Amino acid sequence: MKTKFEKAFRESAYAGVPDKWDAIQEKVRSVVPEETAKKVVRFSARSLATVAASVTIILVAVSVAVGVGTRKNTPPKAEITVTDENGVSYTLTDASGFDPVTVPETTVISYKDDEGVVHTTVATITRNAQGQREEASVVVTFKDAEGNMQTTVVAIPAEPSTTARNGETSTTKLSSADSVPEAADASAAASTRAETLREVDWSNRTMPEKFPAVQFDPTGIPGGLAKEYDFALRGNEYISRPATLLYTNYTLYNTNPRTDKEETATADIYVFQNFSRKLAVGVKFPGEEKIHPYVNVHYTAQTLGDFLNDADVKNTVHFGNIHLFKDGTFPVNAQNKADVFKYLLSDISIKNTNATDRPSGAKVTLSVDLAELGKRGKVMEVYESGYVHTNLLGYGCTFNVGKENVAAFLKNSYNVTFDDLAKVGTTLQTTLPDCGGDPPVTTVSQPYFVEGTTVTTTQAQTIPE
Amino acid sequence: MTDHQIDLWMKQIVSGDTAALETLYRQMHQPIYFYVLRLTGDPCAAEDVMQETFVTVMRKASAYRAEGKGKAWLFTIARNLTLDLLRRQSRTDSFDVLPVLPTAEDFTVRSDAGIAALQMLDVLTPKEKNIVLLRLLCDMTLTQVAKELDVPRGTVFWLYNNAVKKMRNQFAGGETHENEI
Repeated sequence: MKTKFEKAFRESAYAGVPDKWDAIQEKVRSVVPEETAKKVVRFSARSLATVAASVTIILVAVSVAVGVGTRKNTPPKAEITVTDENGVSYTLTDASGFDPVTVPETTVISYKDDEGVVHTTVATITRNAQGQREEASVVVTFKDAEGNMQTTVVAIPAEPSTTARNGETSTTKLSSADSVPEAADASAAASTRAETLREVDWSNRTMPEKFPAVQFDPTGIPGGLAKEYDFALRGNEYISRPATLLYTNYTLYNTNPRTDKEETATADIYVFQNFSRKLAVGVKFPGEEKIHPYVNVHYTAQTLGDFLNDADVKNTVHFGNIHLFKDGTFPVNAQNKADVFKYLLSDISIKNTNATDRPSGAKVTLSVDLAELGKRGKVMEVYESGYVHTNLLGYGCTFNVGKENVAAFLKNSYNVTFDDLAKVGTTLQTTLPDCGGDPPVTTVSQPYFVEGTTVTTTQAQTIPE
Repeated sequence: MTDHQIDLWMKQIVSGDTAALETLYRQMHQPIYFYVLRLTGDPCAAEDVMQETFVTVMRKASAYRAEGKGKAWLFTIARNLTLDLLRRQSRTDSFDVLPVLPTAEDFTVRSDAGIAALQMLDVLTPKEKNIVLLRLLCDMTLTQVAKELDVPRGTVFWLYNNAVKKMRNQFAGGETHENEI
């Protein structure tokens, strides 16, 4: 709801905007609406039963769904079965309408082609202030049964709410493929078992859901504000780490998205033992026993020492797998973890390069989590050129730990060298979803993976000769 | 105006109803003008891109899917057209356009009230100006503004309220105080 002043301001400002309707009318007379090429490639449950090629996409660390063929010419449809790490399959729905999204974090996807060869790629996902995934897409390229190159967009949907509550509204549907029969009723059958994403009414939200962000300067005058301190709740979780009360009855603000009305609440602010207060603070709402971790969205480490100390990384990080691309994916065991700290993360004086771009060149990727702060599905990329890049604590940090150390890590832990591995680069000409522009917007830097003539990247559909 | 309404108008546009396009234009041309102006700082470019946006809407209408994301779709078209324009002018090679925030003098205003209104923006910090432009002039919700700027919604809310207070003070001739942010 806008105030009288806001309305008056807007009306005054709008008065200066030129009216171009006549010119538009002139132009649109000669415009013939383009037929939707997208209609040709849109998936339906029925089409699943009729298509030829088969790809299984196994998502590591996240649930996944949906896909759509997007070759430049009329593409033959490809059957895609998407299976998450628990073996649950999903139906495919059209994902071509996704806006190009920002890519604050990445996760690794691997999939098998018809010949059983495992490919790996990196998907990018976004999260909302509560740490829930919102939406993302990844393009995978593969050979179909006839040996033709196919490109498919796979979308990672938002995380569904786990509990139904009164007043919820449906925004997106996911459905399980194991509920899809082979015949024409597939679509209806799938929708009957659909899971639903929900926007929860304000009155039905928990306090952390109502107030997922807090601006607070924990280093200066309590209650003071500074632009470098925006703390956001990650994962709507509790934290059991010992904490010390820093400030009581601090006011939190948010807006009811349905009414656009300002809402406020008070809460106590805590700092955690062994976590830097620049990185995270705790928020305890009245009547609650537990403390929620809120992480500074602007935090970035200045040195490798900061990175290690500010989140007690040595004791809190969990390594999942290492992805050696062509050679596959391997779990990171205790010895590997020790090697990471020995070869890659030992010199605490190394400065964060604060580079805005990721390093380029060949790399291997470790999946990392810091569950206490709700940091899941993060990556640590280790480049042949000697750089280590990670988004574990939010903003990407890049440290030059030296080529020799990187080589030593790979040799000691996995007995491989970069020469043994498929090469992975970081930039590519890409084509974004069709949202206009003539010629279309085509440039964006994304990580990609090359194997033979196959390029796999987050947004691209270019296949180099 | 809601995204649902845009969905309905787009249906009519697909069936060749130019009256629906005009309705959409009347409702959205000013927000799109300011959105482009925010990106380019150039009123002429804003006019051109705004015009081209609606031509593109007509051309791409059949590709539109009624999913309640009409406004976002329109802004995406405008953004992509702006990027094309900037690229042709060799001003950027990057997808991430840095906003060139306009001053009151940059606006093509046709009324004294308009000039006065836009002069109020000059008391704001760049961050506040960004938020006010998106919220009030581009008609985005605070949630959409937060997403556009990649800033937590609570922060946007706080900064927006601060900005409106400043503008009110300016309007009333009162003193404006420095923002501590």
